[in-house]
Amino acid sequence: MDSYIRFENVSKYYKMGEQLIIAIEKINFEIEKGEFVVIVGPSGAGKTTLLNILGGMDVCNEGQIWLDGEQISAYNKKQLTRYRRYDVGFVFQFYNLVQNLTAKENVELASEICRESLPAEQVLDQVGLKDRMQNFPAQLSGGEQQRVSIARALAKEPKILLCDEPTGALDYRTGKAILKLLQDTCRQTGKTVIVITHNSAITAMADRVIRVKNGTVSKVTLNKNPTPVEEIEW
Amino acid sequence: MVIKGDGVLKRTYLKSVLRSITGTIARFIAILVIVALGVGFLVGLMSSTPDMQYSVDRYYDENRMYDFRILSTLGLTADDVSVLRDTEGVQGVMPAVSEHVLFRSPEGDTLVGAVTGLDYTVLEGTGEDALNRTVLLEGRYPQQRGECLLLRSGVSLGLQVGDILTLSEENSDIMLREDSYRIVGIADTPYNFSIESETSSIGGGKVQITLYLGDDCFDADCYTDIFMTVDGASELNSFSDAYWELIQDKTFLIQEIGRERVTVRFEQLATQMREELEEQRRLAEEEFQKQEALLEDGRVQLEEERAALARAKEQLDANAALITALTEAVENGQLPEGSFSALIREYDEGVAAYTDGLEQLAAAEKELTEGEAALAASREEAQEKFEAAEEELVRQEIQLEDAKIQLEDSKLLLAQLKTQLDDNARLIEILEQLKEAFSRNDLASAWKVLEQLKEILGENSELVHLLESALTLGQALPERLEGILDLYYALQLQYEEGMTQVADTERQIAQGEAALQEGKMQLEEQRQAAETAFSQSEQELAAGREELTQNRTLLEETGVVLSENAESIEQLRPITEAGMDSAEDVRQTIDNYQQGQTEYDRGLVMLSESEAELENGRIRLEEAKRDAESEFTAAEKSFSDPSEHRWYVLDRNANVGYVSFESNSEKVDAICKVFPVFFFLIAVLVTLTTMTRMVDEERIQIGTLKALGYSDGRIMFKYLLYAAAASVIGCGIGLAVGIRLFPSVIWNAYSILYYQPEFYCRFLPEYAIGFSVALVAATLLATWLACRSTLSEVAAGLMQPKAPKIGKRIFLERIGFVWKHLSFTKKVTARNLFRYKKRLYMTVIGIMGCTALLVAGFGLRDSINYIIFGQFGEIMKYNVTVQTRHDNETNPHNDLFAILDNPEQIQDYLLVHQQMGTAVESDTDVYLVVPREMDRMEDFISLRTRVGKHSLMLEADGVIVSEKFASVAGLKVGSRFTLDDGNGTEAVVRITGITENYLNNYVYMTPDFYEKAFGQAPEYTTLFVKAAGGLEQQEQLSELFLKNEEVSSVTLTDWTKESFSNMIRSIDYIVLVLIVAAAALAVVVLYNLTNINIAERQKEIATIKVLGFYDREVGSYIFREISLLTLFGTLFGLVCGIALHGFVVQTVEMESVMFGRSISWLSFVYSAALTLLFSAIVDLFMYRKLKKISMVESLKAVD
Repeated sequence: MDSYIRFENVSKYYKMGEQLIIAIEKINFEIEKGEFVVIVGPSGAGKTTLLNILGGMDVCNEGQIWLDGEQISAYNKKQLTRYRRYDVGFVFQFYNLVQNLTAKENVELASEICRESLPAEQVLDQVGLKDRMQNFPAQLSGGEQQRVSIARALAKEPKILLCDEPTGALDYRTGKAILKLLQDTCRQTGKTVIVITHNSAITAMADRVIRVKNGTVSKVTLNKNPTPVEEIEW
Repeated sequence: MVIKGDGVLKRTYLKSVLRSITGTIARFIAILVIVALGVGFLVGLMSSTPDMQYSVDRYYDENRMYDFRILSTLGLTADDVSVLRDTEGVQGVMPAVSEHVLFRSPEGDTLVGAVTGLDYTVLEGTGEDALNRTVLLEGRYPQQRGECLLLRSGVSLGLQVGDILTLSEENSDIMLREDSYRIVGIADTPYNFSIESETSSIGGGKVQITLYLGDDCFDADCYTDIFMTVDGASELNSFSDAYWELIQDKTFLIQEIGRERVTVRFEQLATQMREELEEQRRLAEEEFQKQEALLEDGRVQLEEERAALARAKEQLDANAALITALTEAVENGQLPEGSFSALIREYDEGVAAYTDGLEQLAAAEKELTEGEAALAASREEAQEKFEAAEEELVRQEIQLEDAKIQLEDSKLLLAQLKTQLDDNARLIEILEQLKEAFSRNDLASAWKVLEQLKEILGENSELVHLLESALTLGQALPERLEGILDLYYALQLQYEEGMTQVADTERQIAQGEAALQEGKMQLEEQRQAAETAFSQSEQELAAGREELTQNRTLLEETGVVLSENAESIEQLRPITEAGMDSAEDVRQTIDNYQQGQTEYDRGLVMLSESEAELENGRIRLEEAKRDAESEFTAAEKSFSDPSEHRWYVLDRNANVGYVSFESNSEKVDAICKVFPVFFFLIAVLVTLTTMTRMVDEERIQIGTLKALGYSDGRIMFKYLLYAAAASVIGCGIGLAVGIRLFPSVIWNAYSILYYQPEFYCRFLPEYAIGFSVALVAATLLATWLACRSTLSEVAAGLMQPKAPKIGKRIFLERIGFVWKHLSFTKKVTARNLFRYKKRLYMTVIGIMGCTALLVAGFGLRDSINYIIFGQFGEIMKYNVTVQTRHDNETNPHNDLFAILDNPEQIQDYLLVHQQMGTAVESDTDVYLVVPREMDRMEDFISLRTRVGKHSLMLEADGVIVSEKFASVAGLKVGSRFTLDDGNGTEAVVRITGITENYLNNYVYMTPDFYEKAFGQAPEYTTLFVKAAGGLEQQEQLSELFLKNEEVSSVTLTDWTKESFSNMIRSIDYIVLVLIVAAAALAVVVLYNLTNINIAERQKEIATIKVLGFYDREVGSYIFREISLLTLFGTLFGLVCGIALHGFVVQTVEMESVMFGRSISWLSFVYSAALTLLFSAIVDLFMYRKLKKISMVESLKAVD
């Protein structure tokens, strides 16, 4: 049986003037459904490009990307939008909440455009923000904002949850709490969660670790027994 | 854009500024454009009035427009001129002779002309004393008598070089010598550069053509005008206060001179006048005597006429009885047709014939009676004759009968004889045979025969016995037989003879019978012939009798007719004797008599008229004597008091062109002050929002610079430089375009009112620099404000992303049911609207300005359009105005009314008293209109209120005035004002109504009220005419009218309409400028706002794109806000537009014109549609930009 997510020889170039910059080259990996995946690598290794392409925000120049039997790499612009709309949940490093909407409204912003979304209250309860639902983002702490962001992503009931440095703008403790939330979500809902980070310490909690270096996958590790977040230190 | 900390700060700094500019070129251009618009509009419009005034002032100076114009009640002399020339501070002195006269154009139109006579060299504009110089457009200057120079205003009347103007016969007491003047040139002059014409006391009341010609064309002993310029005046702007101060000073000086000169002139004239007065008095005396003599002649003639009339009366009376009879006869139809004498003759002849007839009838009767008697006699005679003849015949018949009877007897005897003979014949034969037998002696035979005889005679007869015996005896024959034979023969002979005799007698009887028959027949014939002859005579007589009877009847009838006619004929006899031979003659006689009567009556009337006339003449003469006396006394008196005479020292305020141009250019100034305020405000707002955004964007950079040790001032300097660069370049562009464009457009718009000189667009530093500096300073201030708060933060804080502006709950959220029904994008829109108030104001004000400008522009067009459709369609329903020379009520002119009563050309007309008067308090020219028939007024002019359109009725004790006049004079219904009727009579009248009216000022009143107010009856010299057909037909009609001597002028409303259509064309320029300005305003504001909105929310947009919003959804998420603001702005703009339009219209209006106050709904639609179109264009443009936003932005840190 095919894997849930599969990258086959995926390459992406950017043209900067006359120079051709290779962002990623011939990347191959597979991810199974329900896995908590960490993609790790130093800055400029091509993590973000990978995320962009997997998240349907960008397209690759070569290779094929498969998700749940669909070839994402063959989608046109409109199909990509639909893909983002229904299949992908994003968690941004800087939360990207709409400042002018309350926590609940921010969640509803996403759920409103979906067909089968979860009620905002339920999702916010799930991420532990039951009491802060009516607050505006500016009235929330960073961790709380990130929880709203996660709730917004989860409310859409996506196939995969893509998290870009979810702890990058958070302090250690809060970061850990967010990671826990993500891991719990993965375990409880069976969603495929992909976390992109430069922090190698996090790899311990993943089911699958994909290491990226200079635009290629240097190593894919499978953890039989992932360490709970609480036990990880960095 | 991190600046490296090395040495060459300045260059790096500039580079950074330059990079900011190139990096945000759209933002830079936005500031630049709005500043350009602001400055262009502001400076352009602000300098319009100074430019216009400058251009006209320059025109004045170049052509040496007068500063003073002197008029005198005593005329001006060469001495006056030289005194003025010698006066200190006086520059040029130009004496002139001028007057208003009526001309006839080559087409025969009467034209009011203002004629000015100048020295030929002065006319050409040479020398310092040549003032109010003309600028030749065509042809040449006049060089001799009979030539003239026409001002351009005349060209529009169809006059051209080469045309000859003739003096109208109506002129009286004029100074011009020549009868006709050839136009040799056409020119403009600053003295008369307004299309608005001067008023005149002659003709239609307005000067139509202005002519310049040599002063030798005038027969004048003094000048009428002296024009002057003074030192230092030309250097000053004619519209400035400085100029007017100078003029004020000089006025006193000149008035002083005037007082002296008038005294001198007065003394001169007084002596001269007294002598002249004496002469005049003498002449008047002679004239009066002549008049008296004439009156006496008149009286004598009157007496003669009276006598003649008396004679006529006598004659009439003499004939009266006859005429009465005749009239009766005529009326009763008693008079036969045909010649009376013939009738009488006929009658007399008839009577004679009747008498003759009677005589003849008697004669005929007698003759007839005699005839009858004769006939009876002859008939008797004939009868007798016939009876005699008959008797004879009868006798003959009897004889004949007798003969017949005898004959019958003879015959009978004969028959008996015959029978005997016949019976004896056998015996005789046997006897004979016996004799024979005896004679021969044959006795055997004799016995045989005797046997036969015995059979016949029987055996016993004696003879037989004798014979037997004889024979037996043989004796000879017995004698007895012989004797028997003889006897028998004798008897036979006798019988024969008897038979012959019978035959003869028979024959005689037959002859007698035939003769009798013939006699009878003859008698019968004779009797018949006689009978025929008698009956013929009888018939003839009967016919004669009948004829006679008929003749008698006829004659009797004739007699009756004659006797019947006798009376009328007898009646005719005297008429014929009176010399009338027919009914026609009689009627003629009656007519003649009646005519004589009428003539006599008329004569009587005429006589009494003549008497009255004579009496009037006598009274007039008396009056004239008195008048002359008082005139002479007055004249004497007038020359006894020099203080009544003075100089009138007029300045340019007495010049129509100057005054109207000054007021119009000031109106422009008023408008120009409103419009640019918008732009100024918007420019500052745009700069403020733009720079705030820029500073926000570069927050981290500012923090970095601050951390690197740059001072606040230096950091801020970059943004100030940026703003300064944009606004200075904007000012440059705005000035370059605005200074030329706007003044020129406005100048052109006024070309419909003036014959304008060359226009000079100047760079006016006080405006150009002043406003530029002000706007640049304002943008810099806005920039400073934008930087200030950011710069006050510490460097570390700045390095941090700016704390996001807290989301706020808005009022709308409290209304739960509304809020819950809004979608998120709508919620965001609602919150954003109130979150960024600066942008809200900017957009709403900008869009509002845009819409308001459009509404004002289109509305202005509507307003002028309404002058045409409202004034000439709804209010003035007539299309031709005819001015006549005399009152049409008391003195109707038949030929004129023949035209007017032709229904093919004229639908209807109204007699009106129309006169140019003045409202004294406000010094407003008004037309006094007094319709003759009040009830037909509304068919020609609709009097109604503008608001509500309630129709107004003229009341007996007040006037209705036009709206514009009421507002200019500040009058309301119920107010009173003093009205001068144009002839110097004043009356205070009360306003009972204010009527909608757009062109000219009118005061309407009833004839009775007019008479009450001004003490004289209205003179209906004006006709409002509704002509049929189009312009061409109306122009033909106009020509027809003008051919009539009674008509002095004809005006077609279509001509006026046309001039307003031209005005609309020039207003279209202004509307176009407004549309372009509005478009620029809308585009700049919306573009800028959207640009900022998008830039600021780039990350948000990227995020929602990542969340899977389609492009369309993203677009509506962003644009809904702007669209909503645009909609609000448009709505406010429509409302503000009405106000702006109202202001503009009232400012632009001239004194005698009221623009329409309402804006058509279509203009609102256009304005809103254009605004929305501009907004849509911006949105479309920005949509493309929106699509280009990369989702990768969402991954970036907060900027």
